[in-house]
Amino acid sequence: MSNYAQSIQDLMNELARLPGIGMRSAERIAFHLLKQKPEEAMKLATAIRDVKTRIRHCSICYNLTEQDPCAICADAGRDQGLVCVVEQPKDLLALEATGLYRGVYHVLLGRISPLEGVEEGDLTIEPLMQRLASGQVREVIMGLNPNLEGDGTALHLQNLMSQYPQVAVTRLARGLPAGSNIEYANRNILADAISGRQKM
Amino acid sequence: MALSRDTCICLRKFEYSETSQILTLLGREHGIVRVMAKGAHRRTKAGASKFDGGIDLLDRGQAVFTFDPARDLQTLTEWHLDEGHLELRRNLRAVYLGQYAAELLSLLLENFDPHPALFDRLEQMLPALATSQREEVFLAFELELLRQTGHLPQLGDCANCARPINSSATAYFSPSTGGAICRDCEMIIHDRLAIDARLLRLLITLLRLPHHGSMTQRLPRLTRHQTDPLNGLLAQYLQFTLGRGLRLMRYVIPSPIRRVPVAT
Repeated sequence: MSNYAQSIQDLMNELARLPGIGMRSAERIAFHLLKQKPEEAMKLATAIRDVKTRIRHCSICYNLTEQDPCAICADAGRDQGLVCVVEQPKDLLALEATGLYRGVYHVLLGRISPLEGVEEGDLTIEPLMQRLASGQVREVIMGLNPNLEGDGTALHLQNLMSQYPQVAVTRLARGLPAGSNIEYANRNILADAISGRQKM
Repeated sequence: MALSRDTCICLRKFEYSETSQILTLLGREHGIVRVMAKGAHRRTKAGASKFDGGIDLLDRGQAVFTFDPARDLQTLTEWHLDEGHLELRRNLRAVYLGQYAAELLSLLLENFDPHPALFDRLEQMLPALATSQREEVFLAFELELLRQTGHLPQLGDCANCARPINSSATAYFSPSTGGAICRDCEMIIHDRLAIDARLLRLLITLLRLPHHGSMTQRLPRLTRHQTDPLNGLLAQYLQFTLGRGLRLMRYVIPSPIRRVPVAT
């Protein structure tokens, strides 16, 4: 039984529920917050409150946003006929960080993972099909993670999209990461790299 | 702690953190082993990784792990990928059948209970799922799994009265009774499922095939019209036996066999 005051114990318990934080780390963070000036510590509380009250999903692409539609969907300079389907908002951010993609996105909010109980209805597949039904989309890029469940989800989407023959379905290229060494690449990566080789 | 080495196939994976995974592996010599792969996704800038960049479902590889049966979770220290089944990933049916096999294995096998022959059958089956023989290969594997784990339903004789089942157009199967049932008994069994008798005989034929050598060469060619009812029958039997639903069932068997109402 801990001898901490109830409020400190409550804070530690809540911090310890965060991913990757155990009770020891929670204790350290709690005491760090206690040492801070009240206005500094309250910035954290305010930030948590703001993110939970202001952030929502874009009604078009399901990216996280403060305004609906999100800045990407509302950008008239973007190619609205090119949609990249990703699993999570953080995947969208990773693609945006390249600065090379000028189309729009659709965030599925997961992937079909029957073994984990994640089914088609848990994802934003229906809104994606509605976007395609509008007739504005000419190409969908599968930007899902290249693993068994990601590939399964992409194949499932491809089946559904076959009802829109005007929509081309492509996927992100696979193979060796830039800056890596061939000797460290696993069998899957090398097989993908060989089958997806490009003319120089 | 002593380290063990085994050829393993990944049946389940859980992304524990940004870089670590918790995996359920089927080892040829160790059976089901649950391991923590710390830093599985971590790579050096040159791409080096002690776990080949992370382990995916159905991957087969050479694993090195701590092995202490007293502990539920072992530590994976090395993984070298042998086979990632890229062909299988290009067919949705193959993806679902592969995951269904993984689900059945993780439900029917006990931890640390090795079944080398079953492992070899799984190793043969997974690449065959990418071919046009996927339906018969999967069904044959499913039957072998049930046989080796002691869950095979009674098929030749009535599971209720033990008398031989006479051939007729329609056969009956009862998950709660544990197998096929004869015309005399079917009237009194509430969960009877009607099935084409030829399909039930097909199951018996598959079970009588010799076990050595290549599995795929000896199997008769089957279509989903034949395998869907049989997979459905076995799934309903397993759900009753295990007392829980099968998550992949609706992906593998689109329309389960309905019960035949008992006349009152």
